[in-house]
Amino acid sequence: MLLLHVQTVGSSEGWVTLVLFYLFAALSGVSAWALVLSPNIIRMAVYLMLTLAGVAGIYFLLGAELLAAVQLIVYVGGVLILIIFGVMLTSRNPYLNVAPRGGEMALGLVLATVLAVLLAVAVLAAGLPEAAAAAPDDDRYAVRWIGALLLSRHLIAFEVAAVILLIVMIGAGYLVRRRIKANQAGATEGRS
Amino acid sequence: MLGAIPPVDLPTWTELRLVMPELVLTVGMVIVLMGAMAARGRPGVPIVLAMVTAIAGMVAVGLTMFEPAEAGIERLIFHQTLAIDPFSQFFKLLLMLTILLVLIQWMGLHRGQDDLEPSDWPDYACLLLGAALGMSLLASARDLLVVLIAMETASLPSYVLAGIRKRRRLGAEASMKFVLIGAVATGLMVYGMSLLYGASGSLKLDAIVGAANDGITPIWAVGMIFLFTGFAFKLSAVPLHFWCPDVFEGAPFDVATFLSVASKGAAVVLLARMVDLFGAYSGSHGGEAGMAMLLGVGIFGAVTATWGNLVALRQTRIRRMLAYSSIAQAGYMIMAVAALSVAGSGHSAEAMTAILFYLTVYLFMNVGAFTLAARISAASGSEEMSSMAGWIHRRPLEVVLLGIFLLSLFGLPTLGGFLGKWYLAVVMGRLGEIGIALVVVLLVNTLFSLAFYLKPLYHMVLQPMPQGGEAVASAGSRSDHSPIGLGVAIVCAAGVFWTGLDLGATSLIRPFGHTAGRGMVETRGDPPAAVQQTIFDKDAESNLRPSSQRPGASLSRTVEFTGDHAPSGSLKPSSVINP
Amino acid sequence: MTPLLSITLFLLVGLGFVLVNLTIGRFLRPRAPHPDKASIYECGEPSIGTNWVQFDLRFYMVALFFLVFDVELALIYPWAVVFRDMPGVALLLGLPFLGLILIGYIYEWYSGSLEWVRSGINRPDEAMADDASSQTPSGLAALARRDPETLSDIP
Repeated sequence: MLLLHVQTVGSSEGWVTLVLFYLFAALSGVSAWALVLSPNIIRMAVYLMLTLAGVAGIYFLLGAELLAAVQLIVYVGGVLILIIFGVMLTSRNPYLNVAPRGGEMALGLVLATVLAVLLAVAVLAAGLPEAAAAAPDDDRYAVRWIGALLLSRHLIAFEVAAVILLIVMIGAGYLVRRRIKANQAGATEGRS
Repeated sequence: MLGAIPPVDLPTWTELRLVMPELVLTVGMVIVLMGAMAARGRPGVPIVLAMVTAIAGMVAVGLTMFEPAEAGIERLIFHQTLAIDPFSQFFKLLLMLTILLVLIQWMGLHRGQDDLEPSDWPDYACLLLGAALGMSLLASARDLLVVLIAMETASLPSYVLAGIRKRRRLGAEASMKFVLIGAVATGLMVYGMSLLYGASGSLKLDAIVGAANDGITPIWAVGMIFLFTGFAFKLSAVPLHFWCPDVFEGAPFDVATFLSVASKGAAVVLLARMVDLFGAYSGSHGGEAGMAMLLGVGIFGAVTATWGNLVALRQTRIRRMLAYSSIAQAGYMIMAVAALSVAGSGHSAEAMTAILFYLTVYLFMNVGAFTLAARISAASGSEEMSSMAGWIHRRPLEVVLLGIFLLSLFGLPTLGGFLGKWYLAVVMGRLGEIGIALVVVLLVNTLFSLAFYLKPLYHMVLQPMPQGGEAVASAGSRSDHSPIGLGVAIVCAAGVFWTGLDLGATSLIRPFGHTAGRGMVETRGDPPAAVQQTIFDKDAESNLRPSSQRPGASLSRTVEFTGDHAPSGSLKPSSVINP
Repeated sequence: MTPLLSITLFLLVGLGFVLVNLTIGRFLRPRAPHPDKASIYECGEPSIGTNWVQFDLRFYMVALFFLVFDVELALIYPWAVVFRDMPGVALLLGLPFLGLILIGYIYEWYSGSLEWVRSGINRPDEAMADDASSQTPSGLAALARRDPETLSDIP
């Protein structure tokens, strides 16, 4: 798909795109490997950040600026923080070795290889239709376009997303809330 | 420079009217929260408000239910992302009834117990309504984005509800397992969706299924497999079933009831809709995709049913047994869904009816069985079946009622479960050799399941009461004496007999299955529709036409079932139940 | 020069700058390792235990709320961009979205989940009632800790 893209954009800018693509792809791929192989969970989180950032870079290259920005804001900025907070909240020492054992590693490797081959075959065998390989300067990638789509074709998804956020807030609040009973004792700040 | 943007207009009144059940649930959530804030100190208010929401939802469904039936079509609204047809509306009615029963059951179970602080009640009600909203949308979804959003709306509150007893290890473990497996399944499903979008260039389910008509590409097949992985998680079909018993055991009984009935029901309805599209599209062509679907779904159903039954036999706790039993029941329904994938057989409407009928029966017998299992295990202080020895002498009514539900789950004639299974078998039997194989699987499984459905009854009826049992009984918690739970059970028993003796149940349900599967687009009267459709949708043309004009799509069906609710008598085993 | 080219050059030069400097530093700096240098405090008291403490669960709720509003931002931004094109329609369709989130926020505020300073957290009776630990109400933490005693009721 990218090669196609390079041809359409023109040779003057083509190699730049290619270099950037390989840069971002290498960033994603290498840090994904490092993520799996690292024994330290905090380092894993950092590698995950690099992987996600690399994917965001590829979105930029494809012209999907909003998607790239959302990837950076929500995944790199939000989900990753959540993961690190999750690590901080467990009482177990996170510097413990969490590297997979040999058997798990072998199983994972086999599964990942099968999946990779399957996907490679699937993607290479199918010429993607035009709709999926639009030029990056297409109108329909513009934020205004996406905004209008959210309010028309995907209105249901847009509104129900608010319900999901409401539910997440309620659920998070419920799980963290403590017994109110204790409140009747005088509030003292130093205790917590 | 500002480019053009697609036109945006407000939803029409018709559309708003048709999504009234979902609107009621959403508004209900808001009202529950506001009511909790306004009526401080009266913790029962949000629960009552949630019940009122469920009743209002039933009314709303009732208002929208018959309208599409009169027109004899399914209405595609909100730019064809939602399909409102009698099939989906009937499920929504069952869903609202489930919420109501679960809330009543909850009142019987939790009063006076400190599992849940009164201050947490609004959270519970709100999460329950939110999950119901997701399931309701799932039943109507016609668009990948809506499928995803609805599935998340149904799943996220379920995760919290599974761990709602947050001070118990078992609840926490259940919740964590649920979240982890759910996250993996959702991730796979989203990946599959992206592949499907890449393969077909559309988010619409019918366009995606229709894309297979030009020949199945590998990328489409992989995407479809991943998509069905997500469905399998919600259905607790066998490779992804193992969260089910743990969650049912860790969650309180009411949540387990809700998940076993509503969540699985929504997934079955979604699967049915998806597979029905395959049936509709494979009509004019060789039916390669439809055939693959028939085999795939049929085998999944058969494996799920068999595995669920086999493992259920080994359980010693009544709740785990019921959990595996619900896996097996879902398997039966999946097997019947497979029948929808073959076009030209002309039995899609019948299959839809059979599935709706089974869902109705399943609602009654599962809610009843869970309610009584909750009461008896609360009274005996343990969920081990062996600890319930001799309970027939202590609580005869409850044990008899539980027996009715368990035998109905097995499929004893005169009880709803029998007629439901009969209909499923009739539908499967029409499928040729594969269908016969499915019927044999169903039959063998049913006979086998008798072994474990009788197990609790054996302990309760035939075993002698242990010495000192009275002391245990009096030590039971307060909740087991409340008449509320018994009321739910009696209502459910009435439902089981109503469906089992077929006192109008079949003729009531049949129209809802028969009108499914035919599409009419609710055009918004917006001429630029074509402009906005061409954007991401290469086959927008065909989407804008009623599906009866679509080449090859569900043509046979429209012709066949516009008249009387034909093949009459084919569903009713009158010779068996009325000798 | 196209923007894409300048971005590439910026990235490459930035990456190269760091790498070159680190490499030069490696050859120029003196090398004198000492075990004390690797300790947590190079001077002063010897450290006791690890530097790891379990954080309060409230931090996690802050993170979750941050994520909620993060996602809201991602969805509301395209909405805000089209607002100028069609203020009336966008307002009507955006109000339910914002209203639902606002209701949730108000409810959480009301129900005390957002109160940072809570009384009675470490009261003895609380600790007794809360058999997981006095730190977290959730059993998840205990599960993660794999404490055999508190996990004994998991089969």
